[in-house]
Amino acid sequence: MTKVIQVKINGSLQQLTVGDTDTLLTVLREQLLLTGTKHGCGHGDCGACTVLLDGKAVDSCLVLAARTDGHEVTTIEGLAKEGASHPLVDAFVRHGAVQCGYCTPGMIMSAADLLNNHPGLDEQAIRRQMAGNLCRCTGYEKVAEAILAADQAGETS
Amino acid sequence: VKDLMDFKLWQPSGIEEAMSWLAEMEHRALPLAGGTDLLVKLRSGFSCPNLVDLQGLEELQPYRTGGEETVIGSLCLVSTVEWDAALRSSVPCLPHAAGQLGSRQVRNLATVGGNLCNASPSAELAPPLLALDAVAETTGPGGCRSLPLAQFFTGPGKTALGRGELLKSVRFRRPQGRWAARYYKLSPRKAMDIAVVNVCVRLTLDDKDPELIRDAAISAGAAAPTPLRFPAEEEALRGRRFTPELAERAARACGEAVRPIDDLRASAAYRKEMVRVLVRRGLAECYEQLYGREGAQ
Repeated sequence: MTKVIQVKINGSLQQLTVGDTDTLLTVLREQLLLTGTKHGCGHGDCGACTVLLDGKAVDSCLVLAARTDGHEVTTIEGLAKEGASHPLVDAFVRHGAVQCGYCTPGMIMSAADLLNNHPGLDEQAIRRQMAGNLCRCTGYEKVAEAILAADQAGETS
Repeated sequence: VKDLMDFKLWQPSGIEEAMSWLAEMEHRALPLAGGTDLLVKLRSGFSCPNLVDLQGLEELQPYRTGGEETVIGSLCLVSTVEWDAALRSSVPCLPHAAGQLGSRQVRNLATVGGNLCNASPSAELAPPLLALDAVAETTGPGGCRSLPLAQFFTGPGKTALGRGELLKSVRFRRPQGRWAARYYKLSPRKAMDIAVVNVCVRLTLDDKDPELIRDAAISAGAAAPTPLRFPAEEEALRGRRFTPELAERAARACGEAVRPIDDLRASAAYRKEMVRVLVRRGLAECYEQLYGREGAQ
């Protein structure tokens, strides 16, 4: 079975034809070629596929595309506004919070939700809230530093 | 990446349609709430030909917190409970437990009803809701029912829900008097893990006599086929004066009462021992909070 859905993706309304079992992740990557969102574990453990659904970080591998009809999705490609780099991206670069980069889009989308919706958390709380994003290269020190710095600069939205 | 999942997604126009589809298709259909458990199972070889999408059904999303009675609709997100300011100040054990379920990305999808209806013995929200004497409100082809949450769980993955029946909401009254509660989740990892054992303890002391136990509620998960309360052990505390020896006796009795399994997370013997440790800790910490450090010995 297929369904026609309308979803606002990175600010523009898209009409898409999706299958019952298609996930939001598959549709983003394979129909819309928004490959910044990564496929990691497919089980909601690693967070590489994190996007914002109505402003909240979710694992797009656990969202059926058909259920996003009428909703709003933001991916890493939609985070920068009018060509300007996003403060969180700048913070990740400044703090060297990147190694191979595979987990980075998910990390940044997760952090974007955190700083938009729950700003002002201490480092321990930030680490706990970022537990759904796994990095297999380098660890979490610089990631935590970058998010904390971006939060303190307070210009994430 | 192709998914192995194969099902038809049914999107009802209202709750009546959802219930009648579920009743008609019976064992060939499952309700889909947040999907964080079900989609993972479907991707791991479990099969179900039909999913009935509950998303957006108004009747399943009442939400009232902060007053005498709290009502949480089954479709309410776990993250809503986690961050709710009224719950954090009035019944902190519940948002504390909610915040330990999965990751933030999962909590933004997972629902309270899904966590309960999945009926895992280790369900994160079961011990605090059990300790708060929560009542499950259901709706189905035969009408609405209310039953104590303790009777809602009937076995691992099994609930008291009948054919076509859905969990509508859970509700509980804010405990009265001088009370405190604690939730503990024991797991090898600090986050993103399933409980080896989880325990919630609620203690109410007398308004005038600061050492007299008016009421106690103890619940545990991953310690028996279902999350459970300890009625006999609680009764043995009521009307007695709190002493560390009394708490130890109650905790020991709880550890003896549970029937856990050996699995890859822990042995049954370890789980029994941890129920004892966490119940004792819960009673001591609740008492300490209510009575003040000097009285806690």
